[in-house]
Amino acid sequence: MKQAILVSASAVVITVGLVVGLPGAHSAQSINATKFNIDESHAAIYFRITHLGMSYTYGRFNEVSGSILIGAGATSFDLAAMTASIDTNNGKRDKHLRNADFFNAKQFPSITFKGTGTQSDDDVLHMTGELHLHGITRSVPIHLKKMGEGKDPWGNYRIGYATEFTIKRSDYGMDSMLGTIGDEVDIMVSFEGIRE
Amino acid sequence: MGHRVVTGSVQKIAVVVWPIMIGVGYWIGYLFAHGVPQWPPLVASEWMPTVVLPAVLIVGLVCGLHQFAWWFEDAMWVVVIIIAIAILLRPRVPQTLALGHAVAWVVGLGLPVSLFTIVLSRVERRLYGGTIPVVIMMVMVGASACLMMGGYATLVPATLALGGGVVAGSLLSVCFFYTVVSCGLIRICLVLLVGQLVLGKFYAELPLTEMVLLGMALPAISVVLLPVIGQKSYWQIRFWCFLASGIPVLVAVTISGLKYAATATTSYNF
Repeated sequence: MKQAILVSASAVVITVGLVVGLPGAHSAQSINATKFNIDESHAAIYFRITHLGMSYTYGRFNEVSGSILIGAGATSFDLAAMTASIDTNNGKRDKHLRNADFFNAKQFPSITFKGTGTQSDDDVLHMTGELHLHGITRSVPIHLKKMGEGKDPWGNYRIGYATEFTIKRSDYGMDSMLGTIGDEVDIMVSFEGIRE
Repeated sequence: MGHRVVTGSVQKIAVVVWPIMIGVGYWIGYLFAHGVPQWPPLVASEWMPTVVLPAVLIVGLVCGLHQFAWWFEDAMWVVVIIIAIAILLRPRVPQTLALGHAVAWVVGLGLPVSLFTIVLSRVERRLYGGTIPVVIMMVMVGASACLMMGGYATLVPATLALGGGVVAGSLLSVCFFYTVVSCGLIRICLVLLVGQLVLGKFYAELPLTEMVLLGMALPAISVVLLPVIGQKSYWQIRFWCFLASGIPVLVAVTISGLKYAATATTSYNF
């Protein structure tokens, strides 16, 4: 009888521990990791795409946000660009790109990238992240180079990364005017994070 | 062409042929611009050929072939119109369109469009010849121009092909019956046109003014003609029809063109 009570009590303690302890454990993990918020004034997502196979058209997203979480073993990235903020230095083209022929900004207001990578010796983070674009999520291998880190003149601690990669827009259901406008899109990303 | 009296059997053939021609026309235009739509649809425009178009055509077909009570037929159209608009708005809810706003749009658009389809179906029975197909083609061309300038170029082939289907159906009708039997046509076209305009307004930058003007172009026939049918000659009726629909289309295209030209930028060729 005494043994049964002990077993029951242990079960209750373990259950309560699991219920109460798990969020606590998660908090502890979050505390151990260092969070950096993306500095929007020093974050850039540029892209280029061929026009008639003759030249590149360049563009950028003016609204970028996100965060970096640097833990003991891995670094996580969570970036978002607002599709309506596309800027190719031509108002009519930007309007067309925002519409349903391309980015469909009213249905898909943001492009997001989430990924976790481990750092190699040469300050490069290798990761396969999830790129969510035009309502479709696909895995994209990315190699993020850490450009540097340290205190800025105003006392903030910063870290900066840059990467380049290529995607096919048709993989994301953006297949309007293939031929006139290329399928492969070269993307160049650079951003700084400020430690919380 | 025009004054030949059509019999019941000819009308039944017409109500079968129109949905087929319109459906084929839309699909040709859609495939040309987009390719095969995926299922389940991801983007809003994919709901048109996969769900909205078949639903509208089936209701058009059923109502044409079967003599329902008038209130039941009208109720079926109201339900199809409300559901069609709701389906087309759904992809934006709740990310960029609040549920309350979406419901307001569904009701605010659905009720007048339903009313217009009911009125138009009555007027259509009293009009004859190729007037209605020509008016529909004119409205579709105007809508295509506005959609193009509103930044939804890939919607244009389907809209034009919708009108093309009407022209092809008219030619078939002339070949077989020596006149255009347009019964059952205008309601289908109005609902599909409204669908295209909803896509232009909510997923591109077709302004509300142009949307309303284009949406009013077909119903304008009834507003102008209801008092004069039976009192005017065939040519006078035709003239008033073209005028009633043509003016809103012309105004919409002009406004769109002026806005497009006024965009402060250099030329744009993708």
